[in-house]
Amino acid sequence: MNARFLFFVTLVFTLLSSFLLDVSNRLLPVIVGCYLSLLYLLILSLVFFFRGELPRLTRRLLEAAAVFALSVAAFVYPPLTLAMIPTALFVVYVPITLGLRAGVFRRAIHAVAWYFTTAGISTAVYAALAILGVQPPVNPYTLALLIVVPSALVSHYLLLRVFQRE
Amino acid sequence: MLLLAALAWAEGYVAVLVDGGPDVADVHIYAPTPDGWRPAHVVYQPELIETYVVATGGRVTMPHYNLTRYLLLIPREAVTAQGRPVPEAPPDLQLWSLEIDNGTAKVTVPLAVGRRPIATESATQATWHSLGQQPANTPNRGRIVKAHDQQKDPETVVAGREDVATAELETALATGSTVYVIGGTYFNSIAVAGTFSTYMPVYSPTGQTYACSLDNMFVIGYEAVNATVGVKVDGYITGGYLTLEVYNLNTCSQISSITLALPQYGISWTNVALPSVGPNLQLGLRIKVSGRAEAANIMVSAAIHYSKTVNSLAQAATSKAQSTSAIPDIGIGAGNNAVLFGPYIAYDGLIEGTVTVPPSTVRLTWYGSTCPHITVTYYINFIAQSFRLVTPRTTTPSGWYCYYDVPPTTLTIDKCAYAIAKAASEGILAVSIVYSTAAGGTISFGPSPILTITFDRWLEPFPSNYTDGRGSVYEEWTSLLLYNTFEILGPIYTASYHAVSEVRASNREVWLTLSDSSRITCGAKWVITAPVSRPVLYYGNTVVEKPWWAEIGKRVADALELLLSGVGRLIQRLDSISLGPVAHLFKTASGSVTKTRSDEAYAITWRKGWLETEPPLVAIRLDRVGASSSPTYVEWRTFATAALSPDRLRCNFLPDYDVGTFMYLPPAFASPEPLVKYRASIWTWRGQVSLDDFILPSSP
Repeated sequence: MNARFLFFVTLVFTLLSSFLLDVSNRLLPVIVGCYLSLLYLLILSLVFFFRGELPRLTRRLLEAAAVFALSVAAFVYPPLTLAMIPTALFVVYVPITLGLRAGVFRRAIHAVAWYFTTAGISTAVYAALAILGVQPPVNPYTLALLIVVPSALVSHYLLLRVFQRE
Repeated sequence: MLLLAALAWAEGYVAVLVDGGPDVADVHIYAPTPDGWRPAHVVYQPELIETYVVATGGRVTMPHYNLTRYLLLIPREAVTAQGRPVPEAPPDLQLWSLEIDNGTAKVTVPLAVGRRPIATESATQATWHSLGQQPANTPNRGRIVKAHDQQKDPETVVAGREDVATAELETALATGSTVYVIGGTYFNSIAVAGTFSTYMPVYSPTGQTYACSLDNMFVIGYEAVNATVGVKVDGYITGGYLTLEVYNLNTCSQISSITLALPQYGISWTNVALPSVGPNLQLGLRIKVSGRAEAANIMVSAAIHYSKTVNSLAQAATSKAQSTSAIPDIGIGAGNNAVLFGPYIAYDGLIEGTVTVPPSTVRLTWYGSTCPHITVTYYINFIAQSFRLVTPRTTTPSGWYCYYDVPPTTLTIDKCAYAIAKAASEGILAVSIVYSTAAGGTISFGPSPILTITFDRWLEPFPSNYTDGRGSVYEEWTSLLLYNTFEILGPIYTASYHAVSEVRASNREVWLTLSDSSRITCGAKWVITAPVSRPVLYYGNTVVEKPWWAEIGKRVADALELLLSGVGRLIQRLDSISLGPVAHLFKTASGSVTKTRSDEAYAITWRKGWLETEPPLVAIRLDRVGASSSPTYVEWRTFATAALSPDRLRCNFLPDYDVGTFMYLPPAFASPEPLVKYRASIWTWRGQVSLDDFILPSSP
């Protein structure tokens, strides 16, 4: 599947699910799980955005489904919520690892640079919003998504150009 | 009422309708018979008015009363035995006369009137008052004339309102001044059949029904002066008596027994004086009923009147209640139309109270050339309080419509009516507005009409003095005391939103409590000016603790935040969009409470956890900061609640309520050991509770 197509589709649904992250009842683990599974596909497609094709898509979809299944288990038995911590790390770092393996990131330093450049741009956007006194009418998680994902895409593009010259 | 009149005749009473008579709501009235002075009884005459009930949106015909229109039930012998010399009025009673005209003949009956009932060896002869449900049908019209030797205005002297007049509450109560307080007693109803003689069971939510080793003892407390006793009899009782046994709880001895003839049916009340035992002793009350009945249900309540002296602690505090719901436009016909707010809780410990009624606009369809005036009468507990003539906005109709702007009105709660309500209707407060119009039309209250009730309250069972005669501090004043209450008014008998929050304090702690009967509150925010720290959250009597897995999860998430970036949360990393919601899961699993400070104001915010159901009672314990040797004057500024959205997914904070009530906190000092720990509770004295109920043996 085309990674760009997947990126835009999952971005829309991740944003939609992030609207529900301020839910105040027992559905919250399920909503977080849904969000994380979509986020996994989103970050994956983001890493492969400029490559165009996402490798082993079926397996990736099964991994996303497993993330969601884990959240349903937490809904049934709340202590299983603890499993969400490694899941949250999995959602971010497995796509980066896959990107390294697939050669999207030339070297490890490329991936690390992407990580921190994203942080830098995101923080700058947050600071700008604070200076301008802008408070977008969305919950903090949706706002973070709206800032971090474009920041990650921009930094990815810039760093790819930098590392392609080497 | 027809039945009552018929029975009255059958049992030897003559029913006389008095219209425009003096207020006799809290007096005893006697008429002379060959056997001596015998009590007359009073039945207030209703005006049946179609009433729009705001709580339900429905209409029902409800009786409304004016205390100057009543039926006097005079012993028949007093009317028929004319010509005899009038006996002297008993001590403390004044002589009035009742002129009766039945259309063919006129007679005059002397009356003896006073606040204290006549007591005989066997029983106390009391006048029973009741609210009639249907207008009376009697040919007898009466007019009360005060005796020529009476110097004072009968309404002032006889109704005993002079004490109330001196009880005007200023914003700050002057130390040493006297205030008159109304409290309540709570007994369960009983079913009787055959010949019965039994004590009324005390209602206690915590099982406190014993005092001085005697069951069914209600603790009245210190400085009680008199009682308005209400009786409700479902069924029919003959030869019934009600005995009030008053005890000195310090010596555990019975000091008085007041026996009254029990009304045969219906709802009635009367007033009795309680024995004086001095300021340092407290009273208890047992109520015994006896008689015969085929099958009947009896309920007895008593509103207790206290006389309190203000000391430096200034125990009075303000409670406030505000309504919330919007009211649609109400269609009315020509004549009288009532709009009813409530019923709400009538708190114990009332010193003074006011009701602020929201403004309204009346639009009448009028085909005449000049718009007529309308009248608006305000009722509290269906008893008329005040009256207003409203002129039209313009003298001529505008497109066949006349408009009237009825301004907001502040009513002072009549303490007599309040006591009647507590004695006869289980302590409710209802406010109705009656619009008298010459044509039909609509009444509108605007999008957010807010009815505000303000109660100045006292902890009425407690002594006025801080120390007893030997210099020891009364245990009560070392307790966690109620200060302010704020109530979000949904009517108490409906499922609509109704929440009560209280602020209580001791020398060490401040407690904030919230009770929500509708169980939709998922958060709350209090802004107070009391310096506080270290909030601890309770649901009921249980400390809210984070589940073990949520505690571990939160710590791991925090550690990862630090590990993944050397500066923690200061930068927005890629993983924050996945770790953030997961950390949120752990942090919000159970209820949380936060404290923020802005200048001298402290905002305390509680949020329900996602794993929790909406708790019926939330309590937050806060430590007081700093020491003070004198009472601290603080303000409760605002209060806000968060409610679940209609889909029950989200918890949204609603706009702030402007509370604006003041309170004195007791001197703050840190005791070396906690004196007592108190259960979280809404302390409204509804039902008997004991201080022991609030003492736990160890710190939670």
